[in-house]
Amino acid sequence: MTSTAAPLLSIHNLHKDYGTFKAVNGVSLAIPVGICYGLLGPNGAGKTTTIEMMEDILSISSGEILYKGAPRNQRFREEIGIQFQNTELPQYLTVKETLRLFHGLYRDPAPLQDIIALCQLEELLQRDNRRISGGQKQRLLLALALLNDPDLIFLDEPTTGMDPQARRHLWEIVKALKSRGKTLILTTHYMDEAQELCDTIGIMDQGQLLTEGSAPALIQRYCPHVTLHLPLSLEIHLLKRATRHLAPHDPGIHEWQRKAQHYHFETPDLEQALRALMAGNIPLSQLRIHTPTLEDVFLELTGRSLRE
Amino acid sequence: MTMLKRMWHLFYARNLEFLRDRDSMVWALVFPFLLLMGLYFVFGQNTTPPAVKIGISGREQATWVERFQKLSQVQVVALSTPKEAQQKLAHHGVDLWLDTDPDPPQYHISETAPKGYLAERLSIYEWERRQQDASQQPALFQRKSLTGEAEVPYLEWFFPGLLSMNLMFSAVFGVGYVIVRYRKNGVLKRLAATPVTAFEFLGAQVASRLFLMAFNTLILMGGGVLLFHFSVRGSGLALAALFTVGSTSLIALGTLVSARTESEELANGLLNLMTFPMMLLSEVWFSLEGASPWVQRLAWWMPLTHLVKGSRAIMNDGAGLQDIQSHLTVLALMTFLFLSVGASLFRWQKR
Repeated sequence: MTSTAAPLLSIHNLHKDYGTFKAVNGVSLAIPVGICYGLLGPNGAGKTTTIEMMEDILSISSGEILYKGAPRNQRFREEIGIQFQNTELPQYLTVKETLRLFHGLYRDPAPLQDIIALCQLEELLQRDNRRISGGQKQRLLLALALLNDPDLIFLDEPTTGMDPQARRHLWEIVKALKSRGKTLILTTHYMDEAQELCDTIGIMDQGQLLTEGSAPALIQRYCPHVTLHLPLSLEIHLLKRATRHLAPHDPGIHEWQRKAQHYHFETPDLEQALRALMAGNIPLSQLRIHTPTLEDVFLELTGRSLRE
Repeated sequence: MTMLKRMWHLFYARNLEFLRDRDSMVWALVFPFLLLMGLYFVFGQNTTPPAVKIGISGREQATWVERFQKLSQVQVVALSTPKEAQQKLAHHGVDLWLDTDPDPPQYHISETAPKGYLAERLSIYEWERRQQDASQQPALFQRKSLTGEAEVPYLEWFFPGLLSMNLMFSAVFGVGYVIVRYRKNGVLKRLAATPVTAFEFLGAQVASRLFLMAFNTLILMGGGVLLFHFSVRGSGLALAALFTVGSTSLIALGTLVSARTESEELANGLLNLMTFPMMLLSEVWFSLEGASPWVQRLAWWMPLTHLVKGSRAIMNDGAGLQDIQSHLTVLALMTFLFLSVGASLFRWQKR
């Protein structure tokens, strides 16, 4: 748990089995009001299955899901918005007709014009659903998810197929929703997206939630060291001499290692390491610094890349 | 109120989809006209197709062709050689072959051909009877024809069955396929993310199809009146009520079949499995009078049977609402059953 606030949605020991295959295996988490919770994992990790069980689209094999502290009921559908990863829209309808159709399915929807403006759909309104691009379709699907002014919004890989500008625009929408106190649950393959948008990130693999926390906390917990790379043309003994005083009790970390292309050095304190190298007159013109990311956390936890 | 609002939006969207799907739309509009044209071509000259075909070969062919052409329900085919004649008979090209070379002439039938016996009765026996009449032997039976209101011309008897069958295909396939397609491409999954219930969704599909079918049936009825001068002898209100309830039950049957089906191929098979027995056993083409009791009991469970019987009672026999109450009740119960089971089995998305 990363917050002491009362959870809007909580799941306990959630399982989804397909025969002997366990798609989701004992996931528990709690999502407080007003945060953006990111669920990260490679393909097949169980993210979409987990999120679809939370959405009540997929039945659960065992476990419990509570919304506002109680089992989900018909009100749940009125108060959530969902953007699916892959979904088709009714054929032969225009964007405007599609919005009106779904708008009419809610008891107390948001003003349609506001949603159209928020998702920048004004110029697409008369366009046939089949004649819009992948990115435009994602914007329309997002608009459909927001029509009922939901308290809880599920976004399953919402920026897939979007160009960088459209992705940035979606990020702005997510931030605007957060600022209005909405709670979001997001899955993504994009590290920068998760770091930019998510207050809490859960990392899944093989149907299990491996860990969760804020991006900086996860990085600090699993990959606390900055890595320095220097070329092989330098003398290794000079490098070792320059940095040997940094952590005499922890030589396992503060040891220069020869890799295929460069010398490699890990440190928890970048400034201290740089000062030591400069004091040792080490030329730093070819120095490369690698700051750990969520990708490194992911590699550390699963041995796999997030994009696999 | 909210339920009706949702159903209205789904109904409206489905109608828009249908109206813009030009291929389906054109077919739905053209099909009744094609059907009428086909009927007019076959029945328009007040002739009916012959019941049997008789092949005649041999030296006396011309004489016998002339004689048999005077018989009703018999089509005569002149055949050049006995070999050709035998082959036609074996392959059911003709129902009876008369060889005029022997004295007396010989006729051949295939014992396994369903129409062989009928051909024998209508041609050989009929000819012999006429010969006996000509020899002034007293008749055993006196012949009387139905006249006036009591007579229902064949085409007028057939037309309600045709209308009902058209309703069945339009209802069952029109809704079943759409739902399976929606499930396959994820539209249903998107709808499942909203507060729409299975009953609301299915109800809207039923209403939308019903609307289209009413339009379609009006074209067929109008064509029937204009081309064949049909009239509805009974209550128009009763007919409208029967077609509405009957169509609803058939659409509901389509929704039941598609409640869980994920592939169009399987849906096609299941829908055919439903419609073919109905087409054969609901008395659209022939009466089940005298058929074994279990066949008649089976037919009773088919919605098309009640639709056909009810519409014939109104259109042919002048029945009113009271007279077809039992058919209406059965169809309404079937609608309730199909929709309830369909809604409870309904699956929004693929497994």
